[in-house]
Amino acid sequence: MKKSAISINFAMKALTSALILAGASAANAADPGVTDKEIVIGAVYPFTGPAGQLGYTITMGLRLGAEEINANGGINGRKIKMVVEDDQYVPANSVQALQKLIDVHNIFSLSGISGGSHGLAMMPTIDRLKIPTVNPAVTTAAHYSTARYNVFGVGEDYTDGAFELVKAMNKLHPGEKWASMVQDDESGAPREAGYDKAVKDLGINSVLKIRFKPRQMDFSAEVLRLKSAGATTIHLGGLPAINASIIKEAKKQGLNVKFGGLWTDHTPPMIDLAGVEGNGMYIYDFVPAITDKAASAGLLNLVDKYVPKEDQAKANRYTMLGYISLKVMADAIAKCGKDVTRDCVSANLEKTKNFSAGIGSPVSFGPGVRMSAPAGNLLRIDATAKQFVAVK
Amino acid sequence: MRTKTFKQSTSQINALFQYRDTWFWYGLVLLLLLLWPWVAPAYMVNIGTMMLISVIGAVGLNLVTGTAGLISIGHAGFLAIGAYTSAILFTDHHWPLFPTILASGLISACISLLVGIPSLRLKGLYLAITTLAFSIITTTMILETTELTGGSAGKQVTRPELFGISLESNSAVYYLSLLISVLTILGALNLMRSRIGRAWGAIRDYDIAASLMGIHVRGYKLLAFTVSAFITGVSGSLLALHLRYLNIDSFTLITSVEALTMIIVGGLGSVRGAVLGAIIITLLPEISSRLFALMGGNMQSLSSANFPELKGVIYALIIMLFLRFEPDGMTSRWDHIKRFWSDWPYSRKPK
Amino acid sequence: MNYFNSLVVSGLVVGTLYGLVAMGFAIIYKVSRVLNFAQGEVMMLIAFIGYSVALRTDGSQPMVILGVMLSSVVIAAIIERLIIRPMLGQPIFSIVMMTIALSVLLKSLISLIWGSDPMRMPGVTSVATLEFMGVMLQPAQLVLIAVYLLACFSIWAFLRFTLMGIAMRACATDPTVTMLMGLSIRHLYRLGWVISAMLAGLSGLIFANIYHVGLDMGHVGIAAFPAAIFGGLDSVLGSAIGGLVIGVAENLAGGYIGSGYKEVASFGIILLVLMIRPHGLFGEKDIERV
Repeated sequence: MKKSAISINFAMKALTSALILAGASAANAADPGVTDKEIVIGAVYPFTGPAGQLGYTITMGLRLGAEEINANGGINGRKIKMVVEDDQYVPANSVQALQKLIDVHNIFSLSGISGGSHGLAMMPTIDRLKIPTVNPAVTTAAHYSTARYNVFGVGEDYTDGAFELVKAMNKLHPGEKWASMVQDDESGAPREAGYDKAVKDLGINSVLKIRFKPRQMDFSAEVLRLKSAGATTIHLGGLPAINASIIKEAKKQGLNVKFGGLWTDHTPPMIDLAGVEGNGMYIYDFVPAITDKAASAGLLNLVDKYVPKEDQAKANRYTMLGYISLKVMADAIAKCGKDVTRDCVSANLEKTKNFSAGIGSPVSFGPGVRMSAPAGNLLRIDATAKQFVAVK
Repeated sequence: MRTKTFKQSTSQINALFQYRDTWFWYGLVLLLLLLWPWVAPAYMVNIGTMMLISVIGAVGLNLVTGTAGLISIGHAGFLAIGAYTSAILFTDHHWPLFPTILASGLISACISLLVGIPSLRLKGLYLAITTLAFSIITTTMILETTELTGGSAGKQVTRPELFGISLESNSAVYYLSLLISVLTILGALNLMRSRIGRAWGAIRDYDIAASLMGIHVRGYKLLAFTVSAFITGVSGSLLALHLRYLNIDSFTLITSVEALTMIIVGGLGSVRGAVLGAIIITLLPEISSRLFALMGGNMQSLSSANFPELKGVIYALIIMLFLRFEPDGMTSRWDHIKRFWSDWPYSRKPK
Repeated sequence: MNYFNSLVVSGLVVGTLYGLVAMGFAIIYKVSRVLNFAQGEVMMLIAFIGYSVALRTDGSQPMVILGVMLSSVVIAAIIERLIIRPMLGQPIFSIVMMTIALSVLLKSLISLIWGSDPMRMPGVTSVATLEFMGVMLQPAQLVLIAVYLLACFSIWAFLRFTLMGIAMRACATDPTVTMLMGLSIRHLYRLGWVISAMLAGLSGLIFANIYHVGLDMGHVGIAAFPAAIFGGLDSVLGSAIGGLVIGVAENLAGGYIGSGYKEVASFGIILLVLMIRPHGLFGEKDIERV
């Protein structure tokens, strides 16, 4: 009696496995992302955690670009479908999210690889499948220093950015005593490297370098060190809220110095956080201020048209970059005509020369050049007008 | 009627499985697991690997917290030690596969003595906080020793070759994890039904009485820590291989909490509980994503999606509901159901 | 020497914040032997509620304080009734896991309702600083010190001299006997949680005034742990003093060794304390009866 029970159950198990097999192979038989009607473009970004703001704002830009192109008939008749996955800013999840995009959503190309180490974690898969990638949130040079066939970045990495920031501020105020305070993680350490390069190349007088732990909130000890070292200009390399805390602590202790930060601070919440103490803080960026109505008109119109009222205020420089990078990708795909393949798109991306997306500086890549490294300029926080103002 | 509660000899008490059929069913499960990379898409194989790695870690944690009763909220520290040791040995020194995994486990076990020896005097909450302190100090030290570990930038892990077969593909790492998790489960089961496992159980229930009976409490406590750390170190080593890129963010307090959740949801003190819990918790984010997508998820629209935060709420609620209504975990619920059907139609209402 | 002094004084100021949070830990532990891992998140929740009140009332301080007090009572009562009380009698491990899960829940809820961006507390504009023993302080920090001293004194007096306070101490020693004596354990637990939540709320409010409201506030809970352990989990005054010690130690480590070593310093201290005096400096030894 036992034996027949076993054999019936065994048959059930075999049947189930056969069904799973059949289902799975059906899933595997699809094309990678291109049909006659649509192209699937994917992206991995954090929507929670310390960099949560990044996900919403960049995705807004990507979707705006997609909506604009789709409204004009798509790319050679194919509509763009954007799929975005959240990796919660944890590299382990990034790999998982990318795999899901590939297996479940069948993406053709990639428009986002989250942060520095997250992108590096995903890189083996991206390399293996030769997925054309245009990254609007360039942070680390490691993705682009060995020119990969298929990975491009619209922007500049933190090291070069910090170098340009120090260079620009030094031109404006030469002869200062510099200090650097960066977060001890992958967003702060490259900035310190750029600062070091500027110190070496431009002969800047650096009196102190500090690295602080990412979740620190109280900076009384650090500000005291700055005071005793006699610094007059500080290079800040932390998250916006942390930079704001440092500025407030310094003002409180009577340390009247100039502050300089990178584009990560170029967001409306920073003005609110830094408050009246943040007046006059310098920020280096290579896209215009979103409050600059003249320079950002094209994007602002799209935001008005497609974004729900309560989210419109969230648009910032990342939205711009997302928009620009999607248009760069779409341009490369369009040049492939009817026969769209990954190789063709990657080759076209390399040939991008002076492509203008309508806002910001033109984007160019080239043989061996994978970061568009646009020219930037200094901005200042005007706390009374609650705006970022370009510095002439 | 299958009750098998009447044991006549020690070998019956010590047997691995109570019924002979159990071997068959587990064999079937193993066969399915072996066939998995052939039938499932790559992304599911990745989930499978994560699940197996979590199983190994959960079994390790269960030995020290569930069986021996020594609460550890800092197991992410051992995971980190195992992972980083492997990363350094694989990438910088090009060690072969199995010696590295062994070394990761051993180093993790040695360092666990640093937390084990001070903790011999402590009980309950104070012990838990010591392990928490250890975990935080470990992650800080990893962050500070930049030349060795890459510090805040993280570290790449190159996959080695095994007898000439490259481990580059996802299925290779999956099979490796499967092999090691089967070995771990068998090892843990053997430990539990041996003298050592019984001594741990005695220490958990009433350590003063245990020492009166001649059990060397301090020695067994240390043994629990070292064995658990070894297994967790091995799990960390596999994690390094799987992720290919290590970063300190993978080893936070939340990771330790997740591990504890696994053994609570599964059932404290049993290997089967640890395995069940690991499977459920690893699949939870996937299941909730699918559920959300079914209910018209917001990921496609332009408005800000609150979906990730909602997942956090759901995760926490599930833990709290389990703790409140099912404190003995899924294993006990499963046992109740089995008892109900095996006694049927004479079964009493399950408690 | 001046550098050292400044570090010490600013460490004391930060330490008062840790002390307030640690007192909250200690009170709950004293009454019900539960370690509330969600203390930092409760503080964060009440601070965010204070932020919303400040937004609506345009930063009027009395309204904000009133709002904070009321919400502390309500939140504490809800948590105690719905989450902790059903878990009594379970092993201590389960209750602790419950508080950990609660902390995750609260953090996600806050992120859902208020978003994940840090925000400035409305109504805080003046940066007028005052000098205190060689260190510049914000007015909010002086308020913090005052609140801290007041809280220490009043809680000590409460536990020592009032009936309810003595009842709470009895509850910690032996709940069964306390019940036999005719006191209601339920009320005592709820009272303990309410006091702890009010302390958390006050410290959260002051924190928001000094720094900002944001999701990183929960980290103060983890940082205040060493303070409670150092002083002894069941000693309220000990925890308060522990806060000062930890604040100074952190600042000294940060000032002389490096910012990354702040956490190592405080957790290293508790490892030492636990090895030498496992129940904290002022805690009571747990005598296990066979």
